[in-house]
Amino acid sequence: MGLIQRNLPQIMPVVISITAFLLVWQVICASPVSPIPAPLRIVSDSQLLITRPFFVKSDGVKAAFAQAGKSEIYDQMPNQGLGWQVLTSLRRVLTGYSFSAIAGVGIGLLMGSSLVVYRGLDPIIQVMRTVPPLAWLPIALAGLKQAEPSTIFLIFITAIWPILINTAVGVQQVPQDYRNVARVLRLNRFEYFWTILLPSAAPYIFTGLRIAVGLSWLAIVAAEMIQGGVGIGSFIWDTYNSARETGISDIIVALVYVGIVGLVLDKLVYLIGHFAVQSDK
Amino acid sequence: MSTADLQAIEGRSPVIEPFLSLKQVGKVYETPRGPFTVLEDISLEVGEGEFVCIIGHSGCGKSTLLNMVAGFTKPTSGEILLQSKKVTRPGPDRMVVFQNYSLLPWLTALGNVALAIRSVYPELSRSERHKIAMEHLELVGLADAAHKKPQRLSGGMRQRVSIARALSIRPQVLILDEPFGALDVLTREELQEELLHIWREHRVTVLMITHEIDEAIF
Repeated sequence: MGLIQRNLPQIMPVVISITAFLLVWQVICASPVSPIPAPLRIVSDSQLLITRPFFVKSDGVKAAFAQAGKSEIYDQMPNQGLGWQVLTSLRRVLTGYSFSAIAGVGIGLLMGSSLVVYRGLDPIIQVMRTVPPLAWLPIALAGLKQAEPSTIFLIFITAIWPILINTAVGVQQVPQDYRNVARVLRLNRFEYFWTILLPSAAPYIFTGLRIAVGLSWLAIVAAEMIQGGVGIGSFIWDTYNSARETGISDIIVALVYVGIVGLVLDKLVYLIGHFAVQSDK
Repeated sequence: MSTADLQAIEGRSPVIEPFLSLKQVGKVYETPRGPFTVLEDISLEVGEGEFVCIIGHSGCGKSTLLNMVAGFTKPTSGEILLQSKKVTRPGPDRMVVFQNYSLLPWLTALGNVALAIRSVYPELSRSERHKIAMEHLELVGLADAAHKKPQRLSGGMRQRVSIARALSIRPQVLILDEPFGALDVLTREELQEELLHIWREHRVTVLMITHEIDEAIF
């Protein structure tokens, strides 16, 4: 209770704005013929999706629905609940993101340390990073033949640029003061790397990682909409194409999931960075 | 500028032999508008255990001179000898106390001092390093703050850590570049007093830059 009371000045404005937003939405879309459902209608339309995120279709479940006289609803449900769909998307994002974090930090350290490498790679990177994520998909499919590795490659190629560029800048921005300390103490390369370069560049690296995780999540939804199969993006597109009555409500529920997961991912990387980094400020 | 502009005020101490000597040192920077002479024909002899202050108005080349003694930059003419050996690069025998402290913010006060000790005396064990580091933090009156990170220390305390770090590796020459410039008057006087005290006790050779005449003759 004490915790809530202490944070009341922060919580109250959020509660008020969300309530106001839902109210306005409810009023605008209240008409039964409104193409976009109002919040209350979404809750009643997509009740099963909201309350059963880890639902999986099976004969047993089908029988249970049939017994309750709800066969029709069962037929309209996706094969898996939204929780599973989100987890599938998350697994793809984390795989691609991990590869890009390793490669991005590695190449970034190299670029930051060597002016020759920086000058050589910078123009290529500046061109490649402006390519929209989805534009890589045909190339990835042509090269990798299969949907799953292509999607992971797409995440990789989307996430690597901010990590790489921020790491390189972080290494270049190691303050002269710290370099002077290293010179006067004659730290060897290994000591310099671990005690000065890495801690000094860490805030930049984490900024890159945070931008990258947001971009990855944006890209996975788009990629899955094209790829199909399981995943929150595929769910959204399949539901739209299925033209079922409660489709738009289901899609809006999925969008809420996408937003919340994106927010959690961002905060997670922020928190890891916050505890890992000791800044001067 | 020449030797005449740059006054070297020598502290009282028996001069034995030139421990540190600057011989006709000059520094010329190449600029797009031609060479720019910062220092010309500076000669100075410092005996072991002396406390030498270099004073001059800002921009006259004090820091340039000190950077050359420290080895961060090379003189364009003349040479600098420490115990008859030519200075070519920075090293822990000429430890510097920087104006802006230059402590690593991700290490504690103790960690900063211990890092210096480890790099100069790699043969020491971790506990030996920490013991020496602790002794030097005590010397500057910071034993209680040993486990604090620099951002939790005041400016004066940070500079004390920096001095402890410099002394802990037993440099032959202690170089201070306007060490108290960023501190308030009270803290500055306190630290000047302390530095003199440490110098008397340890008889370390000190080369200090200042732009305040009060500090030079303190």
